Amino acid sequence: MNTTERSKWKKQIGYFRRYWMLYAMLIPGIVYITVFKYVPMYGVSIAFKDYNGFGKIAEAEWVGLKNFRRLFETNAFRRAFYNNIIISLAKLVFGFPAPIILALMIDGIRTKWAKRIVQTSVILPDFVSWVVIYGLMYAIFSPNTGVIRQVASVIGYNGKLPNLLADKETFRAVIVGSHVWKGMGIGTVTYLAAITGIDQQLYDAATIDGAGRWQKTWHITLTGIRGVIITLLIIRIGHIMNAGFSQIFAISNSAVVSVADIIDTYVYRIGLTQGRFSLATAAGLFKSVIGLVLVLFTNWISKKVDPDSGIM
Amino acid sequence: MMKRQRRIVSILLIVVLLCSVSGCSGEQKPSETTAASGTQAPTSAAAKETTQAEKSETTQAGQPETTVAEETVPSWTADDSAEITILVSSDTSPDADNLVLQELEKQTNTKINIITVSGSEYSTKLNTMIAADDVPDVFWSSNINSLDKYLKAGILADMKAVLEAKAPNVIEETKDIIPRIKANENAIYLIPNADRLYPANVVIRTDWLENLNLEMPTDLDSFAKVMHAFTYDDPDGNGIKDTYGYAFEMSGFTGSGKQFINIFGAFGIPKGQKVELEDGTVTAWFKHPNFMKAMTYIRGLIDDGVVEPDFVTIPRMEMFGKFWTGQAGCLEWDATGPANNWYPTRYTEDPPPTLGFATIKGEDGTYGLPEAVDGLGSGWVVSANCKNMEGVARIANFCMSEEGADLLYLGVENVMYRWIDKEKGEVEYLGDYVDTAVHRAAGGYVYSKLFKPSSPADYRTLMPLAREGVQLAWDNTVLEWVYISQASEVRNEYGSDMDGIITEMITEMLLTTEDLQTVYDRYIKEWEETGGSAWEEEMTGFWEEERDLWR
Repeated sequence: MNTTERSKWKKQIGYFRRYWMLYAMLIPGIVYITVFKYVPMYGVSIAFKDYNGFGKIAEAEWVGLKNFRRLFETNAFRRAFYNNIIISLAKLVFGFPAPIILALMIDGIRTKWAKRIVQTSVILPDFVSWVVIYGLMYAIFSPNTGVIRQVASVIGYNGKLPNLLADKETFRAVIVGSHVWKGMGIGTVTYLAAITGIDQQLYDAATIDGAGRWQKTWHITLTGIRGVIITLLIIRIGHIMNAGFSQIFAISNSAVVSVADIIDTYVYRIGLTQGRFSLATAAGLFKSVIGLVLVLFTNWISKKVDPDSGIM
Repeated sequence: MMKRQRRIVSILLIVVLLCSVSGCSGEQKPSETTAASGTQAPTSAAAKETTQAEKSETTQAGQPETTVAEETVPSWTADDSAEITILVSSDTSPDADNLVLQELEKQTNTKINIITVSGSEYSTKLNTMIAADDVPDVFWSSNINSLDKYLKAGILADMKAVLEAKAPNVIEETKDIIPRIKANENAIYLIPNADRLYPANVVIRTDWLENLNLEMPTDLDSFAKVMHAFTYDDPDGNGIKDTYGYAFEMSGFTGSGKQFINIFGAFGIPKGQKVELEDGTVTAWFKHPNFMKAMTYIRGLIDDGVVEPDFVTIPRMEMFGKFWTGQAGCLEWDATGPANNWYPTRYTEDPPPTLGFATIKGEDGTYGLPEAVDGLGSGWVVSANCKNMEGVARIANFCMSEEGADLLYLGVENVMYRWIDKEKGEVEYLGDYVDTAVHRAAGGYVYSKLFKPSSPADYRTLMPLAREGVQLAWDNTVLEWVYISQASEVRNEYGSDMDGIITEMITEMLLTTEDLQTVYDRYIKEWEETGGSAWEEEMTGFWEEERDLWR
């Protein structure tokens, strides 16, 4: 070790001794990630074994890619995969811009108390469980007793009403609509926080230069929160294969299963209900690998567009 | 000074964070349990081998087969200090330490932990517990395929010896059923409930029939006419069109659910069961030659608007609510619900409705229901790791007595209920236990399916009308179907996919604007390709072997 290297090491050790408290605070996080995120990955080996839930995983027979082949031979899995992509993309296309738009709209409110009320009320749906939301939707859309039926009766229409919750044509719209409604608020808060961080002087300068409201929104607000938008987009794309298990599990039914069954509901059905753990793990692993590839790909693209963006 | 404070705060923070991480990890359960006392009982997979090995060892050593050790040391575990975990299916969760459980522990000298989960979650919970190596000591095996899986995995205990020694009630109550269970050859792995199941009745509001001057329907035509009148002729006389004929929900329609089971019976179809076609092929009920006719009839009822239209999305309790609140005049359910358990407290009308039961016959006079033989394919099983099999035997023995059945269904005598006339089955609930919720929170009713005897308290205390309904349904169980006692490899592999296809098919046939036959053909083709044809072949082969056993 030469003198330069030695002094570098000394500097590192000195730095570590000086900020040991901060390094020590890393320990719980590292322990957490290791224990709860990396150690359970051992279970992924089930996807390559013939494991039926009994006995030890280590003792189960290795079967290579048999479970993956079996998955792709199954119509139900292929359909779940297709539905997963369609529903996820629809949620991304309609769900991702919604909180940005809402945040811009709320930011435009000048009265402070009104802004607070709107801000708080848009968050509330996020705290309501999907089971309760299904109850609400049933109370609204039921063709026999729902609110829509009551309104129709009041205006003199007593004919047949479509059951939106049991119609293949409309059900995906119900999934995406309710997802946007429930999740929009929490995203809005993130963007509002980012907007608050933009220097007010930029707006003042733009006003002096004669910029209109749209121009300020486009050139200052949206540009100012671009980094946040890209980061959230990458994270969102990483979760693109999570099409919303709890939502679909709570609100789907046998009439719409062909357009609503996703990989997670399929995994639940064959894994926990039927006890076919190897097949379910293979499906879950397949989903995760796609998610990982998409994150890396999006990160690469965003780095190409803007070298300062991206998450790694 | 400031620096020191910062250090202390930092150390405290780190400790708190580490504690929270370790707190989340929970306590690791030992993966291998050992018998606390006595010898380990033979398990399903290893049982025969072990017994054989022990036998040959003694013979080789030149000892007589019955040794002193065999006479004094029981071949089952008997650690009374060990807690017995029982997984019970129930839609109501009682208090953790309730009166009924305390009394059950007292009567059987055991420590019991009963976990209740709703019926729809039962298999999920059980599979999760098994995968976590936390198999409950006693649990319900719901069908032959599951039982076969547990046996192959060696997680079940052979309870024959301990039941014969300690549970005479169980042996007596199940003596006709146990020999018919294939898995129980020279052993008892499956302990069936001994009661006869209640098949579904066509329950009809007779006060509405009287209001409309109609007779109880007896055939498919008159049934359709009554349903039409219930919907369009204002049976409750309130001048508003707010009633429907028939209420059902989809999950009760598919599979072996109770809804429309009598209607399928009128077409000669044993709904939910296997049938033998004319060419000798054994297949599922939805390939019965009359299936399309039955579905066309049911679809006709829906198209006529006489069926409550929320049937796809309505939760089960809401569906019952349609009947309780006078919005529907007919449903198919076993008589114990509408004419006993719900009567009259659940009904919102004053006076409560009057009810009757119809037997619906088809064109050629065909009618009936498939006999429910739940006990042959399902029952209670005991984990090979159970530390107190003798305690389980005592519990089973007590539950299969009249006293035990009364405790599990009615509660603690003279605290929760008292007999008015035991012979007639008349009881009175006491104090707060009149309220069903309070009664169930104290453990009443909730565990009544546990080791049920042939004359359970729920049957002995039925109201006369409900008893009449149950008897009528039993009398109507005349439809023959194919019972096979062997596990299906094909179903183990493809069962859920096959079932999913049929559930979708039936739902679509009730809603589609397409030609019914086209929809049917499309789904049946998919079902056959997904494993249906292989399953038919397998079942037909099994039936060749078993036909004479059951007829």
